[in-house]
Amino acid sequence: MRIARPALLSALWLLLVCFLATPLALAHKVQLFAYLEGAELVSESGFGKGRPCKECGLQLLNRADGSLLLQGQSDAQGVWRTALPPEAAQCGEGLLLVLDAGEGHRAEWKIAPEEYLHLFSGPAVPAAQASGPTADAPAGPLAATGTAVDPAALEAMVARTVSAAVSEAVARELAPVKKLLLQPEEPDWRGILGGLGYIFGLAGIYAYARSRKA
Amino acid sequence: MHIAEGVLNAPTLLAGWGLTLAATLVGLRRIDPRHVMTVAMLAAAFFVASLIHVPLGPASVHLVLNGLLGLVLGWACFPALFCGLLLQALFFQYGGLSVLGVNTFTMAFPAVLCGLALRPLLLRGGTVRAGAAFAAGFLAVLFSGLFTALALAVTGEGFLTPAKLILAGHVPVMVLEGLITLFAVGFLAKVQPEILGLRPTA
Repeated sequence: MRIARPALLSALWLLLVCFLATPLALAHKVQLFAYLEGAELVSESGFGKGRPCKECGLQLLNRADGSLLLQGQSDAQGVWRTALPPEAAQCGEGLLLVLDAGEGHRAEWKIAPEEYLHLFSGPAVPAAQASGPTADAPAGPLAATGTAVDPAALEAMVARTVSAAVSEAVARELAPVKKLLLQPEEPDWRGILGGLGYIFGLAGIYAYARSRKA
Repeated sequence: MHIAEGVLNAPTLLAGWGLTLAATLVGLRRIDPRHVMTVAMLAAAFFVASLIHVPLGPASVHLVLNGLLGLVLGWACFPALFCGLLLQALFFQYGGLSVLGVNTFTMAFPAVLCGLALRPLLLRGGTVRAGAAFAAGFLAVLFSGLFTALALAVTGEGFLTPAKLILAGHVPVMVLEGLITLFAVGFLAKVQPEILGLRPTA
């Protein structure tokens, strides 16, 4: 039938385009994600694999009132690294990172308070160290007189040092894992097939509705 | 050319929605029930075409295919593009739902204009038809860029700078779209001339 063949050809052409499109399917919207590496906020932005958002404007806002805390720009790899400003300690409701890549491209990333508030409260002292009038012994057991070393205070200092070193190592190791987890999804087969299914489904419903009217 | 969420101000978004809904209703009425599948196929082609990326230095541009849709569908390209953009927003978060009205308008209105102006030229055949097809693909993307820049301007981002950036970045896409529309029209003229309004050839 003459009508069937062009429709079949068009369908095959469309299917071919779909097959070709998926490897080429690269995100068109600008993507942003951010995580904390130790006390540093690292944000990465781009248009998909291998296309970073170069020199794009970034703003760090307080989510509670939208006030601007810090401004910056991504580098040639689309990365912006910055130390958290001290004002972040007061942002109990979280932070918002906003990226403006121009031409109508904009993205946001929320940072939960649990991710950064602990950085401002100082290193933890182990629970075993309960004695002592003051919990902080910044002078250290080896300061001042230099006579007898206080074993308890020494233990506390070692514990603090180890704790800080471990936190830093864990943060460093987790950064790539966090990045992997936070990667936004690229358009994939399911999305394409889902969208196509809906298009033809809606057309079918429309055709059915019109046929009933006639 | 999909504008993201949160860029435009409320009046612009509302204007976009108003215009798009009105035009989509007009477009729905104009769909010939016998050609619903054509509308669906072109909407599907648009949906997938936006995933095809044309690498261009620091920028990221994609195929649009609105010229072809305007030539073949006329006003019916409004519902087709609306559905395509809605599904892109839902499945891939391209553009956004609040900005769907504006995005549909910036892509569909130029398509309709090109369709109205250039479709009659397709009847002439030969070089005129080829030229009209290329022009439709080229100009539809050009005007979409201009309307996008206009939407950004009305929101307050200035007009000249985004306009220059968008147009400069899309020139390769305009040429590519012109060529694609040219070949698509040639193909359709051979296998299904009726949808271009041409008389069937044998």
